Amino acid sequence: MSRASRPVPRRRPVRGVRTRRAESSQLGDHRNRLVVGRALLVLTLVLAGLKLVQVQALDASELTKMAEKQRLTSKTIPARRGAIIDREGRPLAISMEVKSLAARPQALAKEWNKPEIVEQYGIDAEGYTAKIAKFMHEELGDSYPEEELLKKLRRDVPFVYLADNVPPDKARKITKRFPAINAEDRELRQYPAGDVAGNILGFANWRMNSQKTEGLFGLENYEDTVLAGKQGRRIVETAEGNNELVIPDTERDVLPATPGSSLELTIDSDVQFKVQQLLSDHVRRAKARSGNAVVLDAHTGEVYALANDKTLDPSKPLNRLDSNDPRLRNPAVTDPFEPGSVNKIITAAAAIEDGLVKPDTVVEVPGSIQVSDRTIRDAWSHGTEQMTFTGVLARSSNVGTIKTAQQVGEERFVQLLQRFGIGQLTKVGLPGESAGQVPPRSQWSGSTFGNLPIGQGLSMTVLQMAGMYQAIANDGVRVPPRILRAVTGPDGKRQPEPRPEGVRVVSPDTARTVRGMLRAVVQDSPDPLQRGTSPKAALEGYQIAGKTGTALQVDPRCRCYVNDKQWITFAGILPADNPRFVVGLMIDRPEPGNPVGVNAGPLFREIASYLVQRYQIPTSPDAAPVQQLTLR
Amino acid sequence: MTAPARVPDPAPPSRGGGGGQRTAERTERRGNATRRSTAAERAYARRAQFRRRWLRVVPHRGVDGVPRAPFVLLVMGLLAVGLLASLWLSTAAGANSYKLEEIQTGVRDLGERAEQLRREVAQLESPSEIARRAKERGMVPAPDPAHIVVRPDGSIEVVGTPKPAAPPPPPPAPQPPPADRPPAGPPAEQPGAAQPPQEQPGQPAQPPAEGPQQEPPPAQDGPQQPPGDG
Repeated sequence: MSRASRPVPRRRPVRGVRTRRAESSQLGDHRNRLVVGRALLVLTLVLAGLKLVQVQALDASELTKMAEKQRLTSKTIPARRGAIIDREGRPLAISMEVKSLAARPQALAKEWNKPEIVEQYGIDAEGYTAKIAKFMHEELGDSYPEEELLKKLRRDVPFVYLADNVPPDKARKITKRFPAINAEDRELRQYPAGDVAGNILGFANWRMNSQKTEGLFGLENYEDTVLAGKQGRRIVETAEGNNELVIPDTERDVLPATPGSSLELTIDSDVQFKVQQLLSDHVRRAKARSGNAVVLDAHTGEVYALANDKTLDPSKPLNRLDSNDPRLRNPAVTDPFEPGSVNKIITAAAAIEDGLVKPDTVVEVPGSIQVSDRTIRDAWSHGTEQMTFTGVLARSSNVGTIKTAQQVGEERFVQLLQRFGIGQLTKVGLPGESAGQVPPRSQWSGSTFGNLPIGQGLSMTVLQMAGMYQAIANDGVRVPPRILRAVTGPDGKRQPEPRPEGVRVVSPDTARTVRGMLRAVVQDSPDPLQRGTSPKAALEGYQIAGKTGTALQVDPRCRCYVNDKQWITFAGILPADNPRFVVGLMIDRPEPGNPVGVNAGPLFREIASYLVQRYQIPTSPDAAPVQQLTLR
Repeated sequence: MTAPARVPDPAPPSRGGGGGQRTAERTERRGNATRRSTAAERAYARRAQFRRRWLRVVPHRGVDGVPRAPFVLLVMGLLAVGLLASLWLSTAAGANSYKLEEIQTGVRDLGERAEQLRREVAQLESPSEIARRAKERGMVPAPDPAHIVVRPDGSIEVVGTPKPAAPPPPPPAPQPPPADRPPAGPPAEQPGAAQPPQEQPGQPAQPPAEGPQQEPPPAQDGPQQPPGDG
């Protein structure tokens, strides 16, 4: 509707008449107002623009800094670290949520010495800190003496930590009563089993700079990414100049933390404890330098126990540990040794597999044998003896073994050495694993093949050594040992670790035959010619197959093998007729002449005796047959 | 157009054929305005307004003439109900949030407690702790057990010879008070006497009966074989 048609014009004169007197001046006022208003607006806009340029461009960095100081701080929410449990679900390493309590003594003193505060509460900083210290001591117990807390609270520093590893409920009680005390999230790693499997677990602790628990060594370090989980984030408003001082109820943008996965090991902590105990006891009595032991499942290759004579207790403080301390490694997987006669199993398996000998084949064993420039003798001096091949193994004749090995041939020997896993990593799942050393074929000297069959001149870990016997126990299929059984994710789903592919080493028949021959090692007889090397490894009611070993160590001074430094080894299968476990033992440098140190068979027996009780292994239906070792 | 109150507003029909004539008249009158006094001018205007006093647009009524009141009441009622409902809901939500907070606190406290208990259990059930406590009570690891094997024909065979356990080597240093009983069977007493019940007279009392003539744990072995078999 156009305005023209309205009778408005008629009214205008009316108003116009009424206001005519002031018309001109008022019209000018209006115009002036507009001009002035516009000018003001433009000016304001220009000013705002200028300020904008100043804020956004000129002072930007400085202002950002100031803002950061003042307001929002992004805080991480620690992700709960996954636990490590044994095969029965018993915890070996667990994490606990704890708090660290801190205070800002300078700010506290300043605040509580203000006259109005003193007047209002009738207490000054001195009285207030005394109250805090008293209450904290009451809550936290004797590990936090009142005087010490008080001293910390009154120090002239901006920030001080008062207490660590405080249970959250106590921390809440304290911070609620005294808002001047600040609680920070921490995580405490605990090892409830003490030193049981300490060599496997390693150690993890809280790190201030990353604000989370991190593994230092052992599995804790090796599987850190799996265990750690993912930290969450939250934004909080904090006081100016102190990002630790959170203004209450300003939390936002919470991204929840994802807890880490839990590891289930193949270790049985009972067996581990017992083996650790028996081994360290044996090493102590033999006055040896060290010792390793491993218990494997005969069929799956799962590691039930992996022990060293000295074990770190991760639940105790580690401050005084030297970085070379063997307890920081796991010598059972990191330190290879020369296995000695235990290695004769390779020659035996090869000779049986290739049909060169049978257990009762008679081998003529002279007192010594010449290999290239070296003369190799047996451990006891004798003239030419007629031994069965079983006897060669059971009485551990070096000469007989080398004679048979020469029949087997170097190529075949090397092939089997490899199939038995010697010189290769087992990939057991532990850090720092050594593959041992096998001289490459190209570097063999004339006498090398006089050494390798009797277990000198090559090295392996106790795990690899037990692996060889696991192959014989498992009807010729070697399953590489594993220590990780399953991983349980944060969703609670248990993911079993894939079982490694088995390696066929020898035929099932060969394995059974060799196992049968090895029973003679623990055979006892009044006649020394029919006695195995370790009757004391025998366990009544069970057929035991095993092999003793003694290897000479090299003296670095003369670079020659010396007689007073030895590795004493033993590998055994329990029970031989229906294998359940394989045990590998190594004792390093027992005191020369010490009767305990001569043979590790008795230690095997102790471990075997425990295992049959622990796992209620049925007795063997028949006793092992008496085998003829030497012909008269 | 829906504002009938404004009287002077001409209704659309007034824009009739005579419009042109009136406009002409108006212009003429305005031309004469200078001659008229202000008062007269005002009077004219007032008269024009007065003349149109009764002219207004008749509002259109619904054909059926349904009264509006019930509808309005219904809407008001709905609004009131909605308002009350939202009020009640927000009050309930507020009350529940307190409850929720309380329960969450409870859950947290109980969770912490459960965790602490779990940790204690883990510590107490660890093999080293069990071994320590067993030792404290004077218990020793069992030696090799004998096995009773049941043959398929029902006959039984004892494999191995059952042997009593050796008493723990030295009695743990300080023997606390429980030595109030006269030593009934001197060798039978294990340290930490608080634990085992009274000796049952009827039973052969296997383990602790013959302490002293134990053979030591079976590990010691003579040099039955020359060192260095390898």
